[in-house]
Amino acid sequence: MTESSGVAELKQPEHALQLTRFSVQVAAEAMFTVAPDGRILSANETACERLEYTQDELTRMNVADIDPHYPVEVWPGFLEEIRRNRKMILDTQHITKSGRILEVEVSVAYINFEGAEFFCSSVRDVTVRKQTERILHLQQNVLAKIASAPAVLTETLNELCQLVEALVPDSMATVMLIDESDGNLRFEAGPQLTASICGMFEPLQPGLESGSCGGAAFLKRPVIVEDTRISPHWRNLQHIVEELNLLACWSLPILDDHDQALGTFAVSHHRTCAPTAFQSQILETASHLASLAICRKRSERQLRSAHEELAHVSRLCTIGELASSIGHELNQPLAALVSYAYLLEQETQEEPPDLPGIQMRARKIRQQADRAGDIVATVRKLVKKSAPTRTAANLNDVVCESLVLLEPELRQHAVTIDKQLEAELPTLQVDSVQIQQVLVNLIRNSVEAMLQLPRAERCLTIATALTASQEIEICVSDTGEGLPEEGLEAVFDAFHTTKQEGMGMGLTICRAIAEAHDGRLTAANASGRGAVFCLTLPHGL
Amino acid sequence: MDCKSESGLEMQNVCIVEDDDAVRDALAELVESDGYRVLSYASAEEFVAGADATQVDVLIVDFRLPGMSGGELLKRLNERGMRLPVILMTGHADCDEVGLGLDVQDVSFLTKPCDPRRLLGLIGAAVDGKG
Repeated sequence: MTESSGVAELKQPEHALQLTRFSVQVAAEAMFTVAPDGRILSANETACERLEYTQDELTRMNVADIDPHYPVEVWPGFLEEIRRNRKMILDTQHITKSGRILEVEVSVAYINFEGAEFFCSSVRDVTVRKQTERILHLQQNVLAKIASAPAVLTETLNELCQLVEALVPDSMATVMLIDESDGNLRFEAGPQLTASICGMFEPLQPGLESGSCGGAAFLKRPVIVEDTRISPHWRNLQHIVEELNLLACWSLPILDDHDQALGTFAVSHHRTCAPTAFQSQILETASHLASLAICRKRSERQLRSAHEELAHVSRLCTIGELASSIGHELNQPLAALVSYAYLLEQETQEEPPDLPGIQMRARKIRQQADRAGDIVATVRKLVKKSAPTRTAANLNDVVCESLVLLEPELRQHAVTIDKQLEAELPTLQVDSVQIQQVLVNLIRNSVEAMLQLPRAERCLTIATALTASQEIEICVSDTGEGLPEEGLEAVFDAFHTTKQEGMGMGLTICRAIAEAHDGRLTAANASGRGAVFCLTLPHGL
Repeated sequence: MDCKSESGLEMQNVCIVEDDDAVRDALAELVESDGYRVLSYASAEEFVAGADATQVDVLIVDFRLPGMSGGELLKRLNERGMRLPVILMTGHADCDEVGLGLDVQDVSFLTKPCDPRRLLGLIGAAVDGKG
C-alpha cells in the first residue's frame, strides 16, 4: 500500500502536469508563456490559430511583434509593474499574420519559479464586444446630438458619416435625402463629398437603374452592390463607376415611422467588397439614427411653424384690441389733413395767390399724410403673415417703434414713459416683428397693471442695457402692485390670465419667441414697487 | 382776456383743447381763417389753469386727452355752473362713453376727422345762439 501509494504519488504530479499541459494546449482562450523581455516561450493551439502562425514561428517571436502597444522598450517598466501587482488585465490589440487587427483582453499573471521569472497570459478575443461597444458609442453620440436639438441637420448627418467611416475602413459614407419638391434624391451629407461628385449623381430619381441609393429609396430596402460593374442597378451609371473608381456601394433606405422613404445612407468603396455582419449592423444603426435625426428636425420645423402661426394669431388679436386706439391715432393726421386741405382750397382762390403760404400748407399736408402712412405701415407689418426673417436691428429702434404703436393707448391712460436707452447697443440679428410683438405685449400688460393707480402715479420704464455678460437686456417695469411672489413663473403658463378677455397666451408666446432667439424672458418684482419683465438676448445673435 | 379786437369790432373767442400738435395747429388756422380769435391749449389742465371760461364763446375740446379727459372737463365746468357752447371732438369708439353726465351742457358732437365746413357751421351756430 505504502509502495503503491508511493508510486501513485509519484505518478500523480506527472499526470497532473500532463493534464495541465493538455488543457492549456486545447483551451478555448489563447495562452502564452512569456519571458521578462517579452520573448514568447510557448503558445497554445488557440493562440496559433487565432494569430495565423505556427507554434514554431510564435516561439521565435516577441510579444512586441504581435502587439503594437507593447514594443520592446516598454518591457522593463512593465516588468516592474507586474512584479508589484502580480496580476493584471490589459485591453490591447493583436495583429495576425495577415494583418487583421484583433481586439483582445489579456490577463497576465507573474510567476517566479525557482528564481526564474515568467508571465503567463491568457488572451480573450473581444473584437465583437468592442465593435458592439463602438456601435453603442456611435449610437449614443449621435442620439445625444439629435436630442440636443441639432442646429443643422447636415452637421449631425456628417458626423454620423464620419463615425461610420471610422468603423468601416477605406469607405466613403454619404446621406442622400428625398427633395419633397420633386421627389428626387440629393446629397445632404458626406464628409468626402465634392461638388463634382454631387454633380454626377444629382438629381437622382429613385428607381431600379439609379444606382444603389436610387434603388434603395425606390424599393425601401437595402441595396448592397458588391461590384458596381456587373450590377443591373448601376448599368446606366458605368461612366461614373469608371470616373470615380467606385466599385462597391451599399445603400440602406432611411425610412420614417410610416415606412416612407426619407432618403438613403450609403457606404461606397474603391474595391469590390461585401459588408461583414458587423458592418451591416453599423449601416442599419446609421440609417436608423439618420431617420431619427431627420424626423426630429422635421417635427421641430412643424413645431416652429405652429409657433409662428400662434404668434401671428396673437399679433392679430393685439391689433384687434388696439384697433380703436389705432383708429383714433389714424384720425389725428386725417383731422389735421382735412383742415389744411380746406384752407388750401380757400387760399388758391385768393387773388393774388399767396404762393409761399400755399407751399407751406402743402408741406404740412404731406407731413400729415406721411404720418398716417407710417401708422398704417406699422400695423401692416404686424398683421402681415411672413416667414420669420432675421435682419440686423438695433433694439432701441424696436423699442421706439413699439411705443409709436402704443402711443395712443399710453396717452389715453395717462401713462408716463421713462425711456432709458443704452446708446451703445450693438445690432442683433432678430426678427424685429416678433421682438416688437414681445415688447407690445409687455408694455400693454404693464399699462393694465397700473390702471387702478391714480393717473399721476402711472409710470412705465423701458430700459435697454448691455449686461456684464455681454447680453442685451430690455426691461419693462411698472409701478403697479407687482406679481404674487409665489406665482412669478405661472404668468408664463399657457391660459394663465388675469384679464376678462384674452386667451392668456400672450406671455407664453413671448417666452417662446425669446427662446427661439436663444434668449430668455423673465418676470420679477421690482425692489420698490411693481413688476419688471426682462427680455435678454445673446450678444452674438 | 381781451375780447375786443384792435379794430374795435367784437371778435368771438374760440378755445381749442387738443393734445395733438398738428390737429391743434390745423384747427386753430381753420377757425382763425373764419374770423375768430383762437386760444389753444394742449390739455384740459392747461385750459382750467389758464383760461377765463366766462370769456370763452365756443369751446372745442377733444374727448380723448391725456390726464383729465374732455368729458371730465365738461363735467367740471358743469359742476361750477359754467354753461358755454361746446363742440366735443370724438372718435367713433368713444360715442358710448361720451353721453354720460353731459346732458345739461350745450354740446355738439363731431367725429374726427370732421368736415371743416361743418365745424365752422357749428361754431357759427353756437355763437349766434349765444348772441
